[in-house]
Amino acid sequence: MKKRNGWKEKAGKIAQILPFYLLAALMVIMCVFYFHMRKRESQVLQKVQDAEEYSSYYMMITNDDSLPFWQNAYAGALEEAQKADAYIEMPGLNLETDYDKRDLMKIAIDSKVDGIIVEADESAMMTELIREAEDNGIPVVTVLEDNTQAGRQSYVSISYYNLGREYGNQLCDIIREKQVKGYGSRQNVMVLLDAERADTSQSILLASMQEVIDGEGLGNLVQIEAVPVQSGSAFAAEEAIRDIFMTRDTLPDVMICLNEQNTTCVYQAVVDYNKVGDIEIVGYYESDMIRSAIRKDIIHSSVTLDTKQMGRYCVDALTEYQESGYANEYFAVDISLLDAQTLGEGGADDAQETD
Amino acid sequence: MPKKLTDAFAALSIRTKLICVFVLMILVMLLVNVFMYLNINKITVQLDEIYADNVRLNAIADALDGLQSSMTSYLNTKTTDAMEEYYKNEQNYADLIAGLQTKATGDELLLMERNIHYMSETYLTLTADTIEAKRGRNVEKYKTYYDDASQLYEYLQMYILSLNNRRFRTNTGDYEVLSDSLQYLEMVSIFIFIALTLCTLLMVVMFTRNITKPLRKLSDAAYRVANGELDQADMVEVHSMDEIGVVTVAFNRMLQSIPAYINRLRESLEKERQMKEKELLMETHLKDAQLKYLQAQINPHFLFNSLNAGAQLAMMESADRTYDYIQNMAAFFRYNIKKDHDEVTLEEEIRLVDNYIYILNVRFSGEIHFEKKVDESLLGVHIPSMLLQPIVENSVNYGIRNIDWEGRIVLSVYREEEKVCISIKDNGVGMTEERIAQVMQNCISHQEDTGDSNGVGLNNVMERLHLFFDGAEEFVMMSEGPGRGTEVVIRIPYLKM
Repeated sequence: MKKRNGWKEKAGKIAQILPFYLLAALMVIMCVFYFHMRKRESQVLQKVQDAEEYSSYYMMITNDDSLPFWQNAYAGALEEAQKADAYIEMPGLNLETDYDKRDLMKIAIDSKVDGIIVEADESAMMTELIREAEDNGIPVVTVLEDNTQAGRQSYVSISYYNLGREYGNQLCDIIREKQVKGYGSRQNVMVLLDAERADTSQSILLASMQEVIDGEGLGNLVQIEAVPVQSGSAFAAEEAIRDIFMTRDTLPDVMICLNEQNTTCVYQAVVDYNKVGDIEIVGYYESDMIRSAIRKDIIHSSVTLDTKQMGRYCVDALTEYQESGYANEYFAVDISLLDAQTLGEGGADDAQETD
Repeated sequence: MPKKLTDAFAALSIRTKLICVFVLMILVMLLVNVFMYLNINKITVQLDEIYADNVRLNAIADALDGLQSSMTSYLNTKTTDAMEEYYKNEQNYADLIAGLQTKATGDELLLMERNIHYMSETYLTLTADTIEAKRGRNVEKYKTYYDDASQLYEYLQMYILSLNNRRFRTNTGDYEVLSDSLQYLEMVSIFIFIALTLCTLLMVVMFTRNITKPLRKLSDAAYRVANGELDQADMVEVHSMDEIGVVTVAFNRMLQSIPAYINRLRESLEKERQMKEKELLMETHLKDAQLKYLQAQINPHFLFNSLNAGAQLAMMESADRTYDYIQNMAAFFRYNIKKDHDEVTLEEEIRLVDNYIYILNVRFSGEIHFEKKVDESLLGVHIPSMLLQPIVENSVNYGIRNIDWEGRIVLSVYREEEKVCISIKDNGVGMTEERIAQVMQNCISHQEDTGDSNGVGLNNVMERLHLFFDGAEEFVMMSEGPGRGTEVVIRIPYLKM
């Protein structure tokens, strides 16, 4: 009885002070809630305030910003730019409409950026725009494709001679493989050129390719045909390649593509027209689809280049120019080969580098 | 809660306690309300701010349109109004773009803002050049400038549109987060208010319980007291020193004093009862003595009247001795008859003894020698009636009746300090110690009484004496042995008249 009374008394005492403890707990909950709310809101609103400031701002203008090729190049450039306290932007991605290079160049000049990286061409308009940029004190670096007329600060690209040699080597490999398999006849090789390019790079490429084939003593076994494919207007490349498959009586034995888009289109056409095994493809660059096709042996091999390195070199050239007023005239980007063997060894990262 | 605070709270009056609790509750309510209001207000302000960017961009777009159209209008008409409109729009647009940020940051939206700012500067320069060229009537130049400005106008429109869209998308995300926050706040508010209400209820329940519990205990205790369960009515615990505490303390004091009062009352009642009992017993004994006496005396009135008639006859016949004898007889019986009072003086009692001895001496031819040694001052002492005669009767009957020598009885009345001593001594047969002890223990039965006795035994005398003097008397019977006589001594307190 005494125990029960004691317990009752204790419970009574606890009950007496319980409301005060509850009130205190309520206050604590309110404070926690308050800070939680503030944290939640600040997380949302901080984003803008937290944006880092940079001393320089560059723009990178290409024919098609959405391609993985250029996305990789941009990633490399951004990485390098940030090291040099600069920010680089691909303006085409942020706008609601697709502007061409000319519009984007105008925008860049009017926006008073600190530097422009442009996939140029030899057109008079490009020359004029580069000059306008120069007049406004904006340094211009051309990438992959050059404009030799204007006073651009630097040119970052691959060596087309080396590229031609790599293609030549791959072609020789294919001919030898075919010889082993018993196809001893003359091989028709179709090289898909970019009809928009007016410079000599494609000629150099073809010449160096021919040089390798001749050097290997296979010149009489190869019939090379260069087919220009439009790339400037929308869907032009895809249509042109489909035309080749649909209109030609005899399809080539080997098709050599000099850009990523053509490689993808040719691969798709070969599959669609059931020509797998009949047509060997030597592609350009790498993407998930190209890697997959190489593994399936639909694409023989792909000549690729270090796009990130290319982006880095572009920024390096601009930084160098800003710092010293001068920059290297030319930056050569490394070429590598992607085939079934290199993929088996560990993918594109381990691709054999060639000069 | 610290003990000191609890004690301090317990010491407050109910009024102060009520005020404290209400003020506390009101303060808490106020605090919670202010807290909720501030939070809701903050979120509302933030919600308002969310789309402020879009509003600003829309304003810029409108101003840009206005500027472009006013420039075009001026180029078309070259009116002063158009010119004024242009300058107004130019100023407006310049003001608006001044608010745009110009730094190169890692945020694409801020970069777009920066680009709009610089492009707008270029655009303003171009429009100014256009207007200037138009005023200078340089047709070729103003057309070129106009084309450039129009192209830039398109770019700017696109930039503003793109930025507006992207801002809208981002802001919608922010809006959703804040909207969630608002809902979250609503839920928490409901929870806090429910909790607060429960808390308040609990506090009110506890507080009223603290007030009513001691009251209930007090009323329970009062009911127990009212039902006469004084033994079960424990002290009521005092928890606080408010009004109830004060009442409880007073009640406890009352509870303590009630048993003492009851005891005193009980004692006085007991005393009263004992007194009445004693009185009744005395009366009973007296009645008993009288009854026995009356039983023994058949019609004493008749006897007394007859004796008076005899006395008159003897006087007429000049028989003086007969007259005295009959007079004494009459006096003796008169004493017995008129005994309507319990208390008599010693003098009256002695007179009765004188009468009695006279009668006996007549009967037994003067065998009894009665001697009195009385202190006259003590004759007024009050004693119970019929006290001495039975003792003298005893001395006659058991002491000197059958002796060979001369019988003698001595009645002495004297003072012994604060006591009055009445001694009746005979020189009769005497008594052994055992016999004395037997007599004193009331062992003598009434059967032993002789027919001569008036029936009032010694035990009756002793009891009445005891009742009359409340035990302050002394009744002693002593004898020096057989043949040496017996003495009865009564010592009573001397009370001054």
